Amino acid sequence: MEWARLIDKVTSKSLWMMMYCTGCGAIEMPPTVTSRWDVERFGIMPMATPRQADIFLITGYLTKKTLKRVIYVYEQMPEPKYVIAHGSCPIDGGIYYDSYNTINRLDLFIPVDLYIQGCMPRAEAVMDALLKLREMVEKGEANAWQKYHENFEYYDKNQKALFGENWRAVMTL
Amino acid sequence: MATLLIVFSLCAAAVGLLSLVQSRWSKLAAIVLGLIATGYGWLHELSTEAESISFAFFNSQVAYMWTAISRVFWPLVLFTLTFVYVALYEVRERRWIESFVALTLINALGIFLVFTSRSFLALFLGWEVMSWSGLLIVKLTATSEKPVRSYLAWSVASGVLLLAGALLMSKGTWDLSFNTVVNNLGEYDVVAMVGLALAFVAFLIKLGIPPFHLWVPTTYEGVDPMVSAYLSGAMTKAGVFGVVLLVLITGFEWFAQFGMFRNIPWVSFFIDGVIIAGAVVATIRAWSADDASVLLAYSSIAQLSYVVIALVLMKVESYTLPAAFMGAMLLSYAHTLFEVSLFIPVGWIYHQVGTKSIASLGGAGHKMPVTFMFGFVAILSAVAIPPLVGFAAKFLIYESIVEMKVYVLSALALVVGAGAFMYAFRYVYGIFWGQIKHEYKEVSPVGIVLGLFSIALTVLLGIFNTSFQQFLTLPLESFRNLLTLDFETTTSVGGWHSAYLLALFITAGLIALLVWSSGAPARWISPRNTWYAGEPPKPEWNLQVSSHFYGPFERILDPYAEKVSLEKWLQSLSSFLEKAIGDVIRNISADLNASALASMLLLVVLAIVAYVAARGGVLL
Amino acid sequence: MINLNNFQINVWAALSLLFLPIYGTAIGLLFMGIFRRLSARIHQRYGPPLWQPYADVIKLFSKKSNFSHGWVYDLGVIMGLAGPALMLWFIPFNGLPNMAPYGDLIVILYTMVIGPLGMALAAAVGASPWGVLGVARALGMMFGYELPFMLAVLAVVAKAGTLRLTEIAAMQQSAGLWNPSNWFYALVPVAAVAGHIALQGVMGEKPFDQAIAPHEIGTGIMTEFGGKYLGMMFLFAALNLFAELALFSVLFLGGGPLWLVTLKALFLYVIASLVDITYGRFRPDQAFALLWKWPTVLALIGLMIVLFS
Repeated sequence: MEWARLIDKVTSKSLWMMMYCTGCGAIEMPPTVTSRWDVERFGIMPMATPRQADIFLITGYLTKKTLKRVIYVYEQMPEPKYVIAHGSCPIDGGIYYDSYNTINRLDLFIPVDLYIQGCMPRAEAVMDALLKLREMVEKGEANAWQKYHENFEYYDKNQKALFGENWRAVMTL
Repeated sequence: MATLLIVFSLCAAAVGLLSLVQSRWSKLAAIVLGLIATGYGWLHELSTEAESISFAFFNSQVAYMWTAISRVFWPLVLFTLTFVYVALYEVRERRWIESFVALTLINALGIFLVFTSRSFLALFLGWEVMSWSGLLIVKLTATSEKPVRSYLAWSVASGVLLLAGALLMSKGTWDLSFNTVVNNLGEYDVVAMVGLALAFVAFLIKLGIPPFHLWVPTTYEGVDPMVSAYLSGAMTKAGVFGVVLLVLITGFEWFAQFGMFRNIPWVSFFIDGVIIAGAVVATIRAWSADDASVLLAYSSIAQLSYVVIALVLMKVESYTLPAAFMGAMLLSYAHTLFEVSLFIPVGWIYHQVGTKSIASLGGAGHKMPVTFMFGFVAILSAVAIPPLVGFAAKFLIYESIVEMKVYVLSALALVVGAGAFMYAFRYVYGIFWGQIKHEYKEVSPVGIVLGLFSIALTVLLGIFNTSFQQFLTLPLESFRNLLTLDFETTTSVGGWHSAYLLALFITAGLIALLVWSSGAPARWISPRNTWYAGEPPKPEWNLQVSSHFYGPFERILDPYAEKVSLEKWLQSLSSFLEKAIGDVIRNISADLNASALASMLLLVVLAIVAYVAARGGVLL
Repeated sequence: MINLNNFQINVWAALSLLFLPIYGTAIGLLFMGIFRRLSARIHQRYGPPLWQPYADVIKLFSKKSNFSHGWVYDLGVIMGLAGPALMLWFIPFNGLPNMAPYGDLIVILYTMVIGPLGMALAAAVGASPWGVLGVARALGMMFGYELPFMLAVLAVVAKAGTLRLTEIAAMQQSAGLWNPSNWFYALVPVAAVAGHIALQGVMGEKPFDQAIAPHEIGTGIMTEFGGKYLGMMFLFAALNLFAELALFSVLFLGGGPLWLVTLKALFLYVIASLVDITYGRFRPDQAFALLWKWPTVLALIGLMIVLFS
C-alpha cells in the first residue's frame, strides 16, 4: 500500500498532457504552458501523441465526428489516464446545447475526472484544474479511468446509441 | 582433384537429365544430388595433398593445383551451394530447379578451376566455364532480355580483357604461368603493365566494383533472387581471387616503383580513391532502390569495395599475414554468408507473393518471424554489428587502413559503413515490417532450419574469428590447431576481444531485460493500432512509407552521385557493348548456345589481335 | 588458449562495471533536468525541478497498462537500452576498471549504433508512418554527421597514431590531469571544432533534431512508445547522451577519472543546450547539406594540418 502511495506521489509530479482542441479554447493553452503561467514547473508538459500522455484535455464543444476520434484516442492512452473537460460545452453543451450536431455531455461517453466550467475558462482556471488534478492523483482519488472498465456497458451503450451499432467496425484493426 | 571434377560433372549430368522430368520428386532428387556433390566438395576441402592436373597447350602449360590459397577460397562456393540448395527445397517453382542445380554445379566447377589455377591460361579456361554457365543460369530465370544482354556484354568484356591482359603480361610468348608473369612485371615492361591493368579490370568487372558494376544491378533485377544469391555468393569470389592473385603478384612494393606519397604508392591512392567514390555512390543507389534485389546488388557492390580497398594497400613483405589480407578474406566469407542469407528470404517471399518491389512489400515479419530473424542477423552482420562476422572482417579492414596511415580513406570507409545502416533499415522495414499487406494473408513461414543455421554460423564465425585467422595461416593438418580459444585480435593500432564483447553484450541485454520487465506486462496490439492524428487507420489506407524513403537526402545527393559515378557515360558504354554483342547474336540465331559460340569466336579474334599487338610491342 | 590465471573473478571490477551504466543513466537524466531548467530560464520561466526526469521515468515504468506490437518490438527496445551500456563499458575512466583494452575506437563507433538501431527496429514493427519517418531522418542525418565526425576523430587518431582509447587518454593527460596543453582540443583545434559541430548532430540537438521533430512528425521514433516503452526510450536517451559526451571528452578534452569526465560532459552539454535552445530546426536536406559543407571542410583542413605538420 505504501509503495502505491509513493508511486502516486511521484506520478502527481509528472503529468503529461495531450490537448484536444478542435473546438474552441486552444488559445488558452499557450499562456498556460509558456512563460506566462509556466505549467512545466509542476512537471506538466504537453505531449504529441496519446501513447505518451497521462492527461487528456478536451476543450470546447465536441461534435459526433470529433467524439469518435476522442474515444479512439482515449482508448489508445496507457492507464492510469485522466480526462479534463474544459469549458461549458463538454459539460452541458454550452451555447450549442440545441445544435443538431454537437453532443452535450462528454461524460456519457468517456469518464471525466475534472470539469472546468466557464465560457471561456481562462488560463488561470486551467492552471487551477491542473493543480487540483495533481492533488487528486497524489491522494489516489483520480480514478475515473477505472470506471471505463467497470461501467463499460454503460459507455458502450451510449456510444452505440449515438454512432450506431457497428461504429467500432472501423476500429477493429 | 580429378575425382572432384568427375563427381561434379556426373552429378551435373544426372541432374541435367532429371530436368527432363520436372516433377516434385525430380526437384527433390536434384537438390539431393546437388547436396551430395557439395558434400564431396566439403570432403575435398579437408584434403591436404597438393594434387595437380597439368597439360601442355601450344606453348603454354595449363596447370591446376590444390594449394593453400584454393583451400582458403573453396568453402566460399560450398557455403553458397549448400545454402542455396537447401533454400530451393522451400521454393514451389517447378520449371527451373533441376536445370539451375545442374548449371550451378558446372559453374562451381569453373570457379574451382579458377581457384586452383597455376597459370593465366588455366585461370582463363576456368573463367570461361564460369562465365558461360553463368550466362545460362541468368538466362534460366530472366524475365526479359535486358539482364541477359547486360550480363553477357560485361562478362564477354571481362573474358576478353582477361585473355588480352594475360597475353600482354606474357609479352606474347604464350608462357602464361604465374612465375613468368611475375618476372615480366619485375622488369617494369610497359606492355606487361598494360596487361596487368586489363586483367585487374577484368576481375573488377566480375566483382562488380564501380565503375564496372553496371551489370550487377541490371542482372539481379531481372532474375530470380535465388539466382542472385548464387551469383553474389559464389561468382563474385572468383573476382576476389583474381584481385588477391594480382596483388600477391605485384604488391605494394611493386606499386611503390611508380612513386610514393607519404609512404603510400600513388597507384594505391588512385585506385582506392576511385573505388571509395564508387562505394559512396553505390550506397546512395542502394538506399534509393525500389527492387529488393537491386538494393542488395548495390549493397554487395559497396561491401566488396572494402575488399579491394584493403588489398590494394596491403604490404606483403612480412612473414605474418597482414591484417588487410585477413580482413579481405574474412569479409569475403562474411559477404558470402550475409548476401546469401539476405537474398534467400527475398527469394522465398518472391515465390509466395510474386513481387520483390519494396513498394508493394511489407509486413512479412508478422507472418514469418524466423525468416525475418534470418535476414535480420544477416543484415546486422552486413552493417558490422559486433560481435558478428561482418564486424570481425570490417574491423580488420579499418585497422589495416589506419595502420597504413591513410586517414581520409579510413574516415570515408567509416562513412560508407554508416550509409550501410540506411539500406539495411530499408531491407528490414520495407520487406518485413510495417502493416501486413493483403498479399501476406496466405504467406506461410519457411526456412526455420536454414535460418537458425545461418544465424548460428554468423555469430560463431564472428566469435571465433581468431580461429578463422588460424585457418588462413596454418596448414590444415589437424582440427585441434584450427580451433583456438584465444579470442583477442590485436593489430599495431588497436584490437578487440570477441568473447568479452559477446559476454558484455549479453550482460547489457540482460540488464535491459531486467529494466524492461520491471514495468507492467504489455498487451500485444495489432500493428495498425497506431496514432494517426486521432483517426483510426482505415483498412484501405497504405501506412507503409515505401517510396522515396530517404527523400530529402536523395534530392540533395542524387545530382552529385550522378556526376561522380559517370553513370551516363557508363550507361552508353554498356548499351554499346550490349548492342555490339546482341547484334552478333541476332545475326546468327536467336538460340543462345549458338550466340555463345559466336561470342566465343569474337573472343578468339580479339585474343589474336591482342596477341599480335603484344608481339608487335615486344618486337618494337 | 584460455589462461585460467587471467580469469580471476574480480568482484570489485565486475560490480563497478555494473555500476557504470546506472551512473551514466542517472547523470544523463540529471543532464536532461539541467537542460529543461536551462531552457526554462532562457524562456523566462521557472522551469521544472532538476529531478523532474527521474519522476518522469518512474511514472512511465509505473503505468498500469502497456502496449506492444509483438516480441520483435520488445526485442528492439531491449537491444536499444543494451547498446549504450555496451558502449559505455569500452570508454576508459582513470581508476575505474573498464573494458577499453578489449575494444578500441572502431568497436566503440560500432557499438554506438546498436542502441539507435534497436529503437529503429521497434519503431518499424508497428504500422505507424511517423516512427519510420523519424528513423529515415535519423539514419540520413547519421550519414550526414558521420563524415565530419569521422574526419575529426581520425585527426585525433592521426595525431595519436593509435585507435586505443586508453592510449589516447593517457597521451592527453601526460602533462597533468588539469593541464589542457596536451588535450586534442588544443592540439588539433580545427578538427576538434568540426567534431564539436558534428557532436550536435550526434546528440540530435537542434538544429539537427529532425529525427524527433515534435509537432512535425509526431515525435518520430517515439510516436508509438508509451508507458514502460517510453521509459526505456528515456533511459536509452539518457545513457546514450552520457556515453556520447564521455566519448567526446575522452577523445578531445583529455578524459580523466569518472567525476572529471562527468564535469567535462556537463560543460559540453551546457554548450550544446545553449545552441539547441537558441536555434530552430533545419529541414533535413538543409541540415545534411550544412553538415557535409562547413564542418567537413573544417575537419578536412584540420586533418590536413595534422598530416602535413
